[in-house]
Amino acid sequence: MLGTLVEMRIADFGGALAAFGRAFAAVERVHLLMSRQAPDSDVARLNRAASGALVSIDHWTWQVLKRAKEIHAATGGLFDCVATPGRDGTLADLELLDGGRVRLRRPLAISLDGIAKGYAVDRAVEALRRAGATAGAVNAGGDLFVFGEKPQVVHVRHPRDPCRLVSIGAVQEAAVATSGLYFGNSSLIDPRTRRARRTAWSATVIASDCTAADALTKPCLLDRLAAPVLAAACGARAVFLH
Amino acid sequence: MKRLSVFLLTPIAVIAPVAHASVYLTVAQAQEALFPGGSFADASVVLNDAQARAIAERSGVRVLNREQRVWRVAGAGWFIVDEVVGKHEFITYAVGLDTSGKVRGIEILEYRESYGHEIRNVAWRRQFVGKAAADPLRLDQDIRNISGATLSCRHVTDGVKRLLAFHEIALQGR
Repeated sequence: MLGTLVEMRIADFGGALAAFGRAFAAVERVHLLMSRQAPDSDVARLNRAASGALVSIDHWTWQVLKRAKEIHAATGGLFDCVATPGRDGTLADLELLDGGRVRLRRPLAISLDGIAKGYAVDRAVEALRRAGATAGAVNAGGDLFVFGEKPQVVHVRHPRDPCRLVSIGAVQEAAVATSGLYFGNSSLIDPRTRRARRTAWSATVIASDCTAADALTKPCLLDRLAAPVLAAACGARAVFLH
Repeated sequence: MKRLSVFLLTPIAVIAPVAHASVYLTVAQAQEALFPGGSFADASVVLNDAQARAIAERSGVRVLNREQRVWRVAGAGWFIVDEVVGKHEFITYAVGLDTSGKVRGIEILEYRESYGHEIRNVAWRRQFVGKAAADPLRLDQDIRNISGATLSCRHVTDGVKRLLAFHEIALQGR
C-alpha cells in the first residue's frame, strides 16, 4: 500500500480485528484515490486535465489538497507537491472550489507522495478509534502516529547508518514523520530550483497530525535554518540527524 | 582496504549522478574482500521445486530466483552472489559463508537506486558476521515505533536469512 509497508498495533479488545479491517480499508482508499500510477485515481485524472478544466474529486483528496495548499503558503512555497523537474506550475495554480471541485490554471504534474502517506495514517487512526481502539500506533513506512494514554518511545533511523536507531524520546497523541535519503526511496525536489537535492541529514517532524508531519519534513530538510519557524507555523517541531 | 577508508571518511560523497546505478565492487573484488587469496570454483545451483519450498519454509522468505550463483572456496567455504529488491530496484550483494555455514561477511556489489549509498555501511554489514541458519536474524527486534525508511535493510536481512537456509538445504555436505 502506498508503495510501502503499513503496520498497525492496538491494545487488544473485542473488536480489534474489525478495527484493523476498517483502518486498512481507509489506507487502501487513500492509495486508490491518490496514487499517481492507478489510472483512475483522482491524482491521475487531475494530471490529465487540461488548463482551465473543472475536475470533481473525492472529499478526501480535496482535504489533502487543502492541507497541501495551507502548508505551501505557511512555508513560503517550500512545500510544493506540484514542483517537478522539467515542468512549470506550482500549487498556487490549483484552485479549490466548493462541492469537491478543483480548477487548474495550467496543466500540472501533481504528486501527493509527500503528504498522502501521512494523511492515510491519520485516516487509519481515526478508523481505529471509531471502532473502539483506545491505544496503539500506525506506521506507514516511517510516518507514524501513536495514540492512547501512555506515552510511547519513538526511534528514528539514522540517515547515514539506516540500521542504527536513535530514540527521540516518548510522545503521546502525536505524529512523527521523517525524511532523509536513506535508500533512494525519496527524491527530494527543491521547488525553488526544480532539481533533486542531496543531503546527509534527515528531518523528523513531530506534529499533532501525520498529514502535517509528513508534508513538513520536506521543507524542513530543504531549509534547516528556517525549519524551527516553518514547523512552528504549523504547530510542529523539527529534529535533525546527521 | 582503501575502499573502506574512503567510504568512512566521506560517507556522503556522491559520485554517481541521480538515478544511476553505481557498482561498488566487482564479483572478483568482493571475492578478494571476503576470502583474501582464496581459490574459487564455480558451483552454481539451480534449485528444484522441493528445495525452493524447503528454503522458503526454513527461512520464512520467498525464493524468487531459482538460479543461485555460488562459488566453492577451497578449504574455506562458499561465496554466494544474490539479489534482493530494494524499494524500487535490485540490490546485488555477496555473502561469504565459512565451512560450517556461518556468515564471514557481506559486501554490496551493486545498488541500483538513486541515492542508495548508505547501505554499504560497514558497521551494519558487520552485524551479520557469525550468523547461522538457526539465528533469528530479525531486524530491530522488539523495537516498535520507527520513523524513517525501513524497507531495504529488511530486504537484505531477509536475503541473508534465505541464503543461510539455502546453504543448509542445497550446499551442506556437497
